Amino acid sequence: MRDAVSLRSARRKPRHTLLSTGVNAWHFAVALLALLLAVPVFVVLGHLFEPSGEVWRHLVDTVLQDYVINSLLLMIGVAIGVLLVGVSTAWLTSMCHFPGRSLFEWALLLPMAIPAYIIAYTYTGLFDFTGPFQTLLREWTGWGYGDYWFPEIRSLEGAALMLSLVLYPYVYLLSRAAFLSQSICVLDVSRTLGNGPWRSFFFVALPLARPAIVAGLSLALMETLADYGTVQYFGVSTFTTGIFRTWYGLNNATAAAQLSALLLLVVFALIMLEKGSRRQARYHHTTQRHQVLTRFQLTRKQGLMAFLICFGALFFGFLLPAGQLLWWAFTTAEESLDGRFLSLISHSLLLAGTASGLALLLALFFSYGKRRHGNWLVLAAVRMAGMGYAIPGTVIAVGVIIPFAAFDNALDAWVRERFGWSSGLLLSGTLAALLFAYLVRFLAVSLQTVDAGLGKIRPTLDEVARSLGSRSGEIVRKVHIPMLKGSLMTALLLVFVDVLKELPATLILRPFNYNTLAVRAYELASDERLADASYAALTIVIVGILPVILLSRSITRSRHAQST
Amino acid sequence: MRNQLEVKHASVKYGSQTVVDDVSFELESGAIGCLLGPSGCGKTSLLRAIAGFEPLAEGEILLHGRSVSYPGRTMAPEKRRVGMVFQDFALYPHLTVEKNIAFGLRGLSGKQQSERVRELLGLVGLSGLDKKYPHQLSGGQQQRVALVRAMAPRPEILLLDEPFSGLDVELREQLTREVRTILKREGVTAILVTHDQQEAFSLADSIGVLGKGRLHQWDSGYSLYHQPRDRFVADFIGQGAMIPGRVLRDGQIDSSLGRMKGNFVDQPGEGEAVELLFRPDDIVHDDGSEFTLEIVDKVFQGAEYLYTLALADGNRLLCLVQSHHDHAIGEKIGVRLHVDHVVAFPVEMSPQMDAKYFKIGQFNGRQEPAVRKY
Repeated sequence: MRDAVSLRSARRKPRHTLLSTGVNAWHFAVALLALLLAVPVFVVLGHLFEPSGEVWRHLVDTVLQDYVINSLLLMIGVAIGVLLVGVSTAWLTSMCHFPGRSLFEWALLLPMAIPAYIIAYTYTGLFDFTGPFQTLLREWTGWGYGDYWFPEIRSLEGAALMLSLVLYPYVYLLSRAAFLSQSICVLDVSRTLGNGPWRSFFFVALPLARPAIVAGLSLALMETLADYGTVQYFGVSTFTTGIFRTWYGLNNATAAAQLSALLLLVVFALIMLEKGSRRQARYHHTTQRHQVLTRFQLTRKQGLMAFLICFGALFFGFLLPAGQLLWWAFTTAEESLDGRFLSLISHSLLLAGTASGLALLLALFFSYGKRRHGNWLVLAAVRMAGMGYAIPGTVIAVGVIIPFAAFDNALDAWVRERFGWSSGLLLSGTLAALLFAYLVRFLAVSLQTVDAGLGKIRPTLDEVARSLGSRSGEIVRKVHIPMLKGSLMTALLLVFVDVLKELPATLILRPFNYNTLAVRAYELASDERLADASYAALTIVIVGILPVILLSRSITRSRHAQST
Repeated sequence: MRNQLEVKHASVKYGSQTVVDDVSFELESGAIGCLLGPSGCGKTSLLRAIAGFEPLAEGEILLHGRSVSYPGRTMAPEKRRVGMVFQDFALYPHLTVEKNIAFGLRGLSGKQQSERVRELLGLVGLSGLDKKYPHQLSGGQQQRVALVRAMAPRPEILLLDEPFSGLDVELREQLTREVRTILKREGVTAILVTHDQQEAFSLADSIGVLGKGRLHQWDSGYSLYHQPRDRFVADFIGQGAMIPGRVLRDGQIDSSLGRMKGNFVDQPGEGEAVELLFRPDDIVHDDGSEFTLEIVDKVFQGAEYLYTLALADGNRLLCLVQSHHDHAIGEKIGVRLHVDHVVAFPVEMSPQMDAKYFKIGQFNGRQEPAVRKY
């Protein structure tokens, strides 16, 4: 009977969407805005078909192979890293009993707060020749320079390690959810059939969770491809550094865009993989019922192992780098906390605040458009507007700068011809261009959150209000706003933090000498002034913890829901 | 008495698909009506048309003598003064019980509002819960709050869209009776939409059976059961067996159960093949009867046994017997007919329906009792 009920409500929805095929002002505005936001992607993709210039041929002959191989190796390294750490910690915290389990359940998300470029330079400070670790080693052993071998942190392997340490939470989160949802039926069956933890894991849990794991993995790989700070700092030539070099070193926009287009194709492949896996994950969802799990009781030795694995991930992914940053900040407090630092903060606040506010407004506009006037046009437009999230900041920056420059030049030529003076560069190199790039990249975050919040307000809640005599305005005021408040705050916060962390797009598009926390941290670190970079980095990390707290709260809440 | 609701030749269309097809009925002030039918029959669409959420493609709807819907004009729901109870209750999670109930109370002072809320909460036995939030209430309590929230502004009509389907069976039966008492005490005119005939029987004064958008019969529960107008109603309401028969010259019908006078919607001609409907309670077990039939299946239902009996020609009958008459399968028991109205339909049945009736005859208790077919 429940099926009949859900069938009916499911049927009622598309009815509206199919019916309202007429195009009104809402549809037009939504479509126009979505098109505008998709311009960078289309510009970059358009360069796939551009005739290849001399620079491009030069790139192909010399460095393209390096870019491809390094990016590929990096992806493989990160894949191995995040799978090992993410899946094992997810399995342990969701299915086994061991000391500290409930703490690790949320603490394992903390590494997400640290951007890869920050952990990269922190580890460099810790582990390179002059760092505390090697210094200590030399003091103990009496070795000198060249007497011993020590792994070079600034290498491709090092970059893969750094990225793995902060990206494993993607895999952890999704596979944990998968393990929890499957546990009650199939795992119990497996256990009644006499399989112990290991056999249950490899023959039942892992295959069932595979789609979720793959989805988490593809998210981590998208971030890997988008990374610029780490690989640049470690001197590894990948696509993103290549785009930078072609742009600034060779001064060739077309070739940079062509590189971007290639990178974009790989990203699209990852998006398909992620989408496909998520769809599959739905079918692999084996139960609707949530009951109290009976976790595997580990022996003392096994429990210690489990603890060490989880603690290791947390320690190397968060505690160690955050501690080092704190220490640096502590030692450089006097010279770092000055007016310049305050201006960094105000710049970052201004950018992140404005971008998150604008993204929220746009998201509300798109979401309501979908709810009120959802037809195929609006749905397609909204999907297009949310496309930017997986796309590397470098690529978006290239896609923004080319059309903006073209617009400025065209306007300038026209004004010159018409009025005899120069309008100069109106948009390029302004905050407007930067904000636009942020919107393209992060609107999806806002959109998803608002969409989910609005989706929780079932249509019957609107209908009840109407049957009780409320008009639209009153419904929004008395029902929607109070119910959406949480989602709106979350949307603001998530975009705010993402903008704060975003490095490559800011580097390329910022107005001349306009510094933000991320840019400054990166620049100081590049100049080997690691300790001086710590304040900016620490600020980013601390703010970055906020969404992690949100996430962990939703995790605890779902755990409570399970036990009732 | 004045008609509180009049539905005249109403049709609702989604694109080219007609989901409500030329439906007419009336409801007196203070009466409780019910739209009953399988899922997808258009009953909810009709209810939503009455509420003003769906426009009419044809026909007209009048509330308290005032025309509120006709093609080209649909008075907005917020202007109709209809109260609606949804199947998911649709309580506002961010508002307390008190604020939920007061949501539709306009133009009343704060004191009047809280008085009305207190009065309504007392009516449904929830006094003292006014400061609770919906998630702190049980399913039955939420249902009652949803009910009085819809009743609070004293609407012209109360529309209940499968209001009990989210509750478990026991609670459902108890609440149905309770809601009827409340509605009757307050003199509320109401329409219930449901697919559950027991719910319809115990709540409504008159019931309309809908199938594929058409209203097959608008009648009391008793008449729907004992005098169904067509095969669809006979099939949908209750259980029964169909026995083939033939119309004789004097209008009587001959079947393997003997000759009897038929009750027809359209009188069939002589010699025409018909089917006779026998309800399980039409066949009375009587040890003294000479007419005996073999038991081929039996299901224990608590107070009664439902026996499946085989006729000589292979047809089956259902027979409801008090459960202390415990007979074994294979045994022959005496029965007699106790039929007030013999209901006969011309034969036009599809093979599918045949199979369905046979299945009911074969009922062996593995499935849910066929009383709740949907």
